[in-house]
Amino acid sequence: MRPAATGEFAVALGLILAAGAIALETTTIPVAAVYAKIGPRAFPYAAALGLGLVGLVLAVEAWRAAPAAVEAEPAPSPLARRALGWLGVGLAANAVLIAPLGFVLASTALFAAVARAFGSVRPLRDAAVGCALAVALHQGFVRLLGLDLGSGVFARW
Amino acid sequence: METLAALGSGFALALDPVNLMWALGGVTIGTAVGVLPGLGPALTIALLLPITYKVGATAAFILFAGIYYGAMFGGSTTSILLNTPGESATIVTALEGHRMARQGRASAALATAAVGSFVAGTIGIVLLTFLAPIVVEIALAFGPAEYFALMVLAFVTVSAVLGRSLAKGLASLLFGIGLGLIGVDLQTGQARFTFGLPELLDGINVVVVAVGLFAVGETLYLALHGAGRAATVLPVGGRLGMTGEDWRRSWKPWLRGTAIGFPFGALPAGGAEIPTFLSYAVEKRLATKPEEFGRGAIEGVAGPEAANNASTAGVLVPMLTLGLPTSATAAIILSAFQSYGLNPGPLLFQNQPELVWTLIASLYIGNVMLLVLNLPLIGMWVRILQIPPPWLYGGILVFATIGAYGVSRSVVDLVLLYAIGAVGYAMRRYGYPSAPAIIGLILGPLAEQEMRRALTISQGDPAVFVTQPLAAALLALAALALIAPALLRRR
Repeated sequence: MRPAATGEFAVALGLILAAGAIALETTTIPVAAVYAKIGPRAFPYAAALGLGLVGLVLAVEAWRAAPAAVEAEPAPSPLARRALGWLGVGLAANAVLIAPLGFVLASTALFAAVARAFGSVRPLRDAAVGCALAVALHQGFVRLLGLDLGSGVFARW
Repeated sequence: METLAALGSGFALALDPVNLMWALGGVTIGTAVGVLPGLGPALTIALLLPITYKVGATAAFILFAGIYYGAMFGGSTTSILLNTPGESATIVTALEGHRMARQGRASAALATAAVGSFVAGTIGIVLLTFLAPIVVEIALAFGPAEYFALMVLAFVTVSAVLGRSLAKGLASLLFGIGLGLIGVDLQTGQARFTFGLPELLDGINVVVVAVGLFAVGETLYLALHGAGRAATVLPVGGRLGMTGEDWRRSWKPWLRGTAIGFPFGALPAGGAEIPTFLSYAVEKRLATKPEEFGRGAIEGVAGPEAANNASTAGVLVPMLTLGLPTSATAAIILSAFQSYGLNPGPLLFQNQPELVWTLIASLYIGNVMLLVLNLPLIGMWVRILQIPPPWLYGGILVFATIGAYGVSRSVVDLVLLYAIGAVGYAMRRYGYPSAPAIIGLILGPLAEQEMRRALTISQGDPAVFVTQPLAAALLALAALALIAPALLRRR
């Protein structure tokens, strides 16, 4: 099997597993007798059945590596591992920092790490741009949309 | 006549200075996100959904409709100058448009795209104005069984049209329907698929799914597959606008593109991509100089650009009259209606005529604004294209954070966003379209509701879906759309 087809097959298996999980979880939804015929289970079962069937079709297609099923995707670039690393760092830093330090600082870290993942080599300049953007967005969304982005350290400035 | 009177009062409200500002804001933001590759109208409207808590329904929908329209105008600029489609519906534009730009005819290509979009958009809105009341008349007779059948048909056609493979489209759709199951069942109050997490009782937020699939997934894909590096933006040199010959060669493709695009949008199939491909093929066949195709033929820009704008107007017909969204953006606009407690459909025209007609009137106005924004002010948008990719994608992920975290201030939503982003990456990598997932997420719960209503009326007898002639016909069409491709391939 070609590498792309292996990935295709894995995704199709994932769909079948997801269908199984939906079906299994559906059996645990309690049903009152009044609703027995048209209760909260029917639609989830139908969705699970559909997803399972589609997963099966796609798995067979990938197994046969039918040309139509395999996209001529470019292989991940050699720099991909490094890029993935920086993206992971950025997203993780954002999720960890946003509650204690606030939106602005967490976003600055995220912005700088993502810029690095996309090949920028000037982290300080990226951080400055990221910080300016985050302050502008924070003000814009909080003032205009009334979103609560949390305050963190930023509020004490 | 009644329609014209209603439209007139819509104009009176839409021309209110405050509403004009919302329209201008919408078309400006829309053009900007259309120009930027990686940002689209569905994502942008999802990020702006919190505005529904702050301003009235009319203002919010004028803003959203402006974004929806503006993105179609802006996307062509990117296709022509950068050869990277800003939107999926402007892929075809790049074929001839970028060639024209390389020959120094960028301004003619941009002009025929903008004027064509304006012409097609305006005709599309006129058709919407007069078609919508007729569809409403028909739809008033629909019961739950008919609505359910119509939604099933839309599910199948959307899966078939929005992706390259029906199976992958359906997988994406069912993934969205699966996500839509999470939360409290509205009819019985039962919690479903919440895995004991109180955060999931309200269901998964549309914003988290849309932003995860479109912004996080796309960014991951571009970072890992080396695309998204800086490309050269061609200058908009030369004489501004079109020559007499350009006009002569453009006007027929504009009208033909409109004729192809509008029905595609208006049928419950949706998709602005297929009409652009069709229009390109038609123009190539009818061209007086077919040898120019592939080397910068203006007809190949004019036709598809008209087609995608006409289909944008068309999509609003089933969206407003039936509550049936057939594009990711329309699905998100539908969820905005829900957050106002409004249900698009025939009753919306009866209960909220002011809102509907002001919205439609503002589309006419927005189209005029877009023509001005995209012709004389094109230089402004070219500057936006010069943002370096590291900053563009860094910024997109910061926006994504606002979308997910700003609504709930819960880190659970942020983690969910990343998980859905990872799914979005896999979908992009293996050619699964993401729009059906959004449609499934928003339309799935409505379909379940209609199904159970129909079964309640029939006292649990599923034959209700085959004994009502209209419902049966719609379901038969859906089955046909499901089976026909496989049968055709076998021959």
